[in-house]
Amino acid sequence: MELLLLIYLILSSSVNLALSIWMYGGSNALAEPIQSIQAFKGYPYVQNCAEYLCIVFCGEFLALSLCGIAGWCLYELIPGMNLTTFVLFLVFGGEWLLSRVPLHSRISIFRDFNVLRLFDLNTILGTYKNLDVFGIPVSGRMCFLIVLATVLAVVLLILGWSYHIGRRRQERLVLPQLLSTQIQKILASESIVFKELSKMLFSCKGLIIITVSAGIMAVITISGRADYSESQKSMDAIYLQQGGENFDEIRVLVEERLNDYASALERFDEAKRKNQEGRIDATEYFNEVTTYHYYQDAYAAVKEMDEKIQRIDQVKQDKNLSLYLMSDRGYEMILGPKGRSNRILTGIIWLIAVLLTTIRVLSFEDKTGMIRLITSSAKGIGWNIRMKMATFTLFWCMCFCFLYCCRLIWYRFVYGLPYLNAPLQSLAFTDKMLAGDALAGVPVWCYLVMMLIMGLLLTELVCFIGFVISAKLIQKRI
Amino acid sequence: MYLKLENVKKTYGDVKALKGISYTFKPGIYGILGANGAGKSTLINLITDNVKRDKDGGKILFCDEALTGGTEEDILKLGSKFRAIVGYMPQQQGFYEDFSPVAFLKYMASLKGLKRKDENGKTVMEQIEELLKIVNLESVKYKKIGGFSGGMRQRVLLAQALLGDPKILILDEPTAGLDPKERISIRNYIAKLSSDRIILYATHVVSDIECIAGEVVMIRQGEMIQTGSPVELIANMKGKVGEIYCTTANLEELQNTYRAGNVRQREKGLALRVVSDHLPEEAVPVTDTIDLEDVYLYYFEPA
Repeated sequence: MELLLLIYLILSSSVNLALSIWMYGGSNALAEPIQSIQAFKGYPYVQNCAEYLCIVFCGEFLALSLCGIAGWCLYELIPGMNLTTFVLFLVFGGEWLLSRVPLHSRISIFRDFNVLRLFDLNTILGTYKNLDVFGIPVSGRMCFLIVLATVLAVVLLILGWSYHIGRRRQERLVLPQLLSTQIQKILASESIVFKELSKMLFSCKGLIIITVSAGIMAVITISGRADYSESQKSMDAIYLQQGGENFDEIRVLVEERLNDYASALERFDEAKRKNQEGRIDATEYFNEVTTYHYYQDAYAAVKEMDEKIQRIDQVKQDKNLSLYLMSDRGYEMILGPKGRSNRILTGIIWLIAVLLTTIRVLSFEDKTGMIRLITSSAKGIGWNIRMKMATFTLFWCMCFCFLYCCRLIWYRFVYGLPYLNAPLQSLAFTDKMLAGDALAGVPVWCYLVMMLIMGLLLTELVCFIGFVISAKLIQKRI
Repeated sequence: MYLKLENVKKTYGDVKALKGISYTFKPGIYGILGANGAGKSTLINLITDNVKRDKDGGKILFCDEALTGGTEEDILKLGSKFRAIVGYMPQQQGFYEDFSPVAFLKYMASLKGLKRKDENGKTVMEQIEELLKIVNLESVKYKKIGGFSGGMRQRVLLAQALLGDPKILILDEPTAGLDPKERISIRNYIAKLSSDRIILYATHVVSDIECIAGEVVMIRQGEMIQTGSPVELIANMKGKVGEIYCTTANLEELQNTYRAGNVRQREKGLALRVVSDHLPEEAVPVTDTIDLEDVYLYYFEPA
């Protein structure tokens, strides 16, 4: 494994280096001190770029080896590939979340002490940082190395113990055996529904499919996050504080600015006329121009609000529906056209996972030959399929609800999800979406629930289709 | 109680797997003997409802005082009531590798619709524990089946077939993959069960049937060619079994010429067992050591 890793690293690093030299030129730069690169001006050791690259190479090799050995250790401790994969995903998912912890958070230390940081060696080597350990300043780099060494020592100890005992007793580590026995006892005592779920998740690798799909969906959702400017965020803060159902303060502000702008425009027009006729001196003219631009910018800053207020007033007049004054940003990603491709992609991935897993369930019975025992049993294959469908219907519902809630929690974290009681038409982009007036007055939270129900129905439909397809295939074979 | 086959046929495309078999099975052990592809598994699949009967595929009728009130009923019409009294051990060792024997048997108990307590007041778990003791898997009852040897898997399959105390036991190659000791143990256990049960024991291993079967049904190319007790079948072979003494040099030629069986070592040299309606001149007739293997050779080996 180490040999393969080494070969891979040598190949990838060489290709990377060769391409970089070819694209950016300057193989001479390799002889320059590393501190000549701005990002590394704080690097404490006297080394040239070539020597630094060698250190990074060694560091990458060690980092990947450590991850590989730790994964191997996890496999030794946890019985079954399915469960190990699931735990690995959880660990990496958790580490990724910890790496995104804000700088000022109490747990910000986990931004640095993080598995993912192992793969950001340039940052580790290039920055110098002291950590406050009980009032004593300690080098961050040193702490990181100590933690790494400790993890490596523990992992090697576990592996050594495992193989030492394994060789003596000719069996694997005791802990996985004990875990396995307990799991089997629980499995035996639980109902057939539990057993069917166990088959689907472990024997049919459903857990791996679901975990991988959920991981991909999470990456798509997170990478599809919209970034808003500071001015947009300030605007959103105003909507949050002073918007909503009763937005009189904003209305007054907008009117004020509009009036100021209108009168500044009048005076500017007047000053322009006078300037053309030569009846105004340069200083006064300049003042009027400046004043005009000032009020113009002031109005531009609230123009979005003005447009929204006008729209709200129009809807009130036409439909007698009181809308909220709120930001479209955020919701246009969650519900609107900007997030559509993201939603469609994640939806497709989810449905493929459901279809794949469901088809595997029945084909698994056929592949193992258990279909014969099931068919010849008193309850028969029909009952078994109906029971599976009922079990998986419930399971997929729970899974989908869980993933949907995780997604909403993420949206809440990123975009805020304000004014959930607001009528849906408060969001300007819904003008094109809504089926006539049918959903105009529906609260946003209600629409989110409707999307959840639609997702559930689609999930169940795909599950049903999966069962039908695999049942037909088996029937054809028999 | 009896199970009656009336002109049972089955065709797969152009292949006639069963060509009209009629027979009645009463309580006892029936050895269903035939080469690979003879139609044994097809017959079993029809009885266990794993395969759809053809339109004119005959009838499979069951009669039992408790279940049918003494009248003959088609097993398809009886449906789950018939399947509830059948214990089936398939040839394929299909399993859920992640399940332990206990979990697997509990699952099968649910599929079989077993009540919480049987007629003797034993719970499902108690029945399972007893069966695991019988098949000698008690020490590994919570270990995953995926780690079992072939013989251990066969024993789990046998245990699930016996779950629920079935009236009809259908065993398709039950001793496949077992060592001689395990074979004998399972055969002996099956022999004890036969008093009030119909046991169908499908195999091409003759020695299995010889010891325990009360009746032998021989199937060749979808047809029932002979039936009878082992004693009767062996008695019919008088004058048809002989031994030819030979050397290794002419052994192959003799095997190609006659319907030949095992080669045995005798004081005079190698003795090739031959079976034929008219024994060759050089063959020494055998009278006292004729066995079912000779019967099998006579009916199944090409002349």
